[in-house]
Amino acid sequence: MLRYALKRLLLVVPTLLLVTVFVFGIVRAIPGDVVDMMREQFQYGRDAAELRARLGLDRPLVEQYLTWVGGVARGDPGLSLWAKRSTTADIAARFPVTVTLSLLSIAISLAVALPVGIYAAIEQDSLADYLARSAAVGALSIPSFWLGTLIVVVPSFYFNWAPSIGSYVPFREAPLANLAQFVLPALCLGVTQAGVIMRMTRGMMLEVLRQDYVRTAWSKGLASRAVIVRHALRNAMIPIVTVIGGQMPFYFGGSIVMEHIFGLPGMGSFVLEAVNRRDYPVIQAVNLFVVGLVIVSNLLVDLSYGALDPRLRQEA
Amino acid sequence: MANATMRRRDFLRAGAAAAALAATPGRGWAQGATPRRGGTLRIVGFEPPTFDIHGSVSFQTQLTSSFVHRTLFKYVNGEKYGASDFTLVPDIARKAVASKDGRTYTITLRKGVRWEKRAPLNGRELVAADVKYTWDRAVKKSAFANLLGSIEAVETPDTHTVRVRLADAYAPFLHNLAEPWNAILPHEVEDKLGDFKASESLVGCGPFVLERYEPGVKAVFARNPDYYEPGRPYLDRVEWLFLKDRGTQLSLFRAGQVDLPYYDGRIPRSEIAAFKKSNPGNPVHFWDWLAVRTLAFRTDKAPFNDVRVRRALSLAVDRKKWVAQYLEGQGYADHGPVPAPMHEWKIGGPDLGSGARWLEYNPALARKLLAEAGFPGGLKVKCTNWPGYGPELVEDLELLAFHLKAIGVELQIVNEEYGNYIRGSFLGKFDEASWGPSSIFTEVDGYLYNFFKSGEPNNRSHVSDNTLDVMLDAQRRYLARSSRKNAIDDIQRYTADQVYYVYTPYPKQVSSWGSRVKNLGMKNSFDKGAQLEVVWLEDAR
Repeated sequence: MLRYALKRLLLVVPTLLLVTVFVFGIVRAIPGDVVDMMREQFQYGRDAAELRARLGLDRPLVEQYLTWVGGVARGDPGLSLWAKRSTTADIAARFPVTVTLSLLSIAISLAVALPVGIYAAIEQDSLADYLARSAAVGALSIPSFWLGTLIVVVPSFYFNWAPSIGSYVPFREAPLANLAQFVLPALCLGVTQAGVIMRMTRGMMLEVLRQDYVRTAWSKGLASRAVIVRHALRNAMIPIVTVIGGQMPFYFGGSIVMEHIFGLPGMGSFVLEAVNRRDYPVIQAVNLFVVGLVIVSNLLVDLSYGALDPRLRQEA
Repeated sequence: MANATMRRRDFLRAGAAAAALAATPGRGWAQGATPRRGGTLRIVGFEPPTFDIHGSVSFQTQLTSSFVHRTLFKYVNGEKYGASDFTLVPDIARKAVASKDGRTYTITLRKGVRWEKRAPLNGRELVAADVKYTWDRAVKKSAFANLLGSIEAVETPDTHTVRVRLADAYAPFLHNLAEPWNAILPHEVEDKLGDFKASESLVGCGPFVLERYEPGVKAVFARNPDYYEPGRPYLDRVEWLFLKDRGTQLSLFRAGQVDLPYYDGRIPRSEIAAFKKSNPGNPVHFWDWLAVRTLAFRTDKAPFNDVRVRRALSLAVDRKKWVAQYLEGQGYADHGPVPAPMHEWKIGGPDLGSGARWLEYNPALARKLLAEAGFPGGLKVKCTNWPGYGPELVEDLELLAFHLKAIGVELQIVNEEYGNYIRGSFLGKFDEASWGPSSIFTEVDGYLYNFFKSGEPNNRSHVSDNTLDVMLDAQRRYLARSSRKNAIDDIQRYTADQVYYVYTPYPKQVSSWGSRVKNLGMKNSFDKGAQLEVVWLEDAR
């Protein structure tokens, strides 16, 4: 297992290096240069060349890239071009919001999708199955931003009520109040993403439930719970876990929209502002961080394969 | 010379009257209402890109810093004053005296104005050296520096007197001192922090002090206990929320969680009926906004270097119908170059002379002019814009395209990303035409000099007209209002005839706020601190 984990970890290094090249290049491909922005939108500085030199943007791109990567390797992705603040400090302040929202959303997705998917598979072609499948298609069809907007707008229109927004309470000040702020956005995100996981769970469970070893388990007289959870679900989980891993970017991306609607100070609003201002170090740092998170979550998914399927451990 | 004396007298009279207004209890709010102290006002505001008022032209920076920083003069504020009433009242300054040639201003500062009692200022008195430091810095760093005229020298004869000498007489000088980008800054903050970019630099002498700043969430401003206006402000606190989603902003307002759904209480026109139904107790107020909406075109090249083509486009717009049908009467047909709410400067109709006829709706004449200019079959025009200004402006542009189509002009709308628009089209960098709202200016010069003077970055139509340049420079030198008015009337007549821009009809803004908010007046200014200084909450205890 350790060798397997190390092998997976080693593969992360070239991936991350490739990502740094991509992230560094893509922000510079956005139309509009930060120097023009500063001079023309916000009127910083008087001379473009002088400002460019002050920001270190007059150096060759390769040199800029190497400086940045060197900083990243030392844990210092640079300062915001506008605010002159450390991007690490800003990410550290905003990361807990995004990650809490993402994790809660995933938890809600799993809490909804797994039992419903399993039940629908067990009760195949029953009314409950049809209802569950319809609900899954419905959830897939509803964009989370639309659901979020609906939750905020409709009650205010008809009942003059809206969720408490605009007074973010940090976890260290009031843990329960902090978590309460995430319930609605996490529900919106979690429920809409649950459709994919529910359909995959149902499909895999149906396939596994038809396997000989499951039939054997039933014929041995094992309790339903043991057959379904220990024999069927565990074997159905690998593709489901793969889907969850693949969904990670959607959770992070969806969090950005939810933060906007529910006024949460996460990385979403931070990166949007940075893009609008062409604040290269911030965009690079956030992108690299998010990509890093996705890589780590995929790594965890890969590692979980080993835990779920002993054959993979042995192969590794 | 006589002009200069009148200007000075006009200003002193206005200043004295306004000072009396400011000092008299019971004025500036509805008769019979008694201001109450206390409470927290919650407003949807903005998180500024920087707190440096000289390092940015962002209105968000001006709005946010105005709670804390103060200017030498300010505009009258409160519900009884119009949105475009820019009568000056003393703020940090007590009075200003202009020399007869209009080149020297001697400004006497109010005594006893103190900076906040925290490091690095520790409550020291604001003195003339602070004003000199601020102006020296503004001239070096601010993109608005040209709006201070050409400052030759700033002297401080004593601790409470500042004398500024201009290279040339500049009529808008005193007016512009009331703009929030002209607030007085203390040098100690820059000495300590290196600049004014961070929220820690927001140390001032205004009605409020920054109590808390939560990035991405809100700024909380608390009453400054040492504020120099006795009894002000009435509010204990202002929560300035950084909520970005418009739907959320309006929902929170409906639910009573915020007192103003936008920094100026603005609500969409399309939502008026719904708001009246859902929140019948809240006032809904129409008011005059000053940003003009223009179709700018490249007058430096064909086909728009031909005045007949420009006139044809103007003749195609049925402005009266536009206002009556699409704006339901809540707007102005003739909205530019001087915005209609600037009543003291604005001329229209027959006063515009021969240029007035190009504001009429006459598609037949428009087609004839186009044919004479060599476009009998009409023409196609690429028109850039930024759709992010919102659905109402998108509809306005579509309406303009609809009118132009009737004379054979096909407006090919090119939607741009904000960054490209604001650094490109907004500054005249487009191929054929561009449509959108202007910045707002509280002084008429902003709508004339910036739009028409050769080489100015806001001269989107690339106007290069020596006659007009001379007129524009001249109006800046007239210190007597009557002489300046004549010059500005002439500019309006001249530009109406030349049609360097097509000004499309303009709607009034509509705002709403919680019924507990009292003495809130809409104002075409980003000096939010001064506006809220006179506001109180009915349910304050």
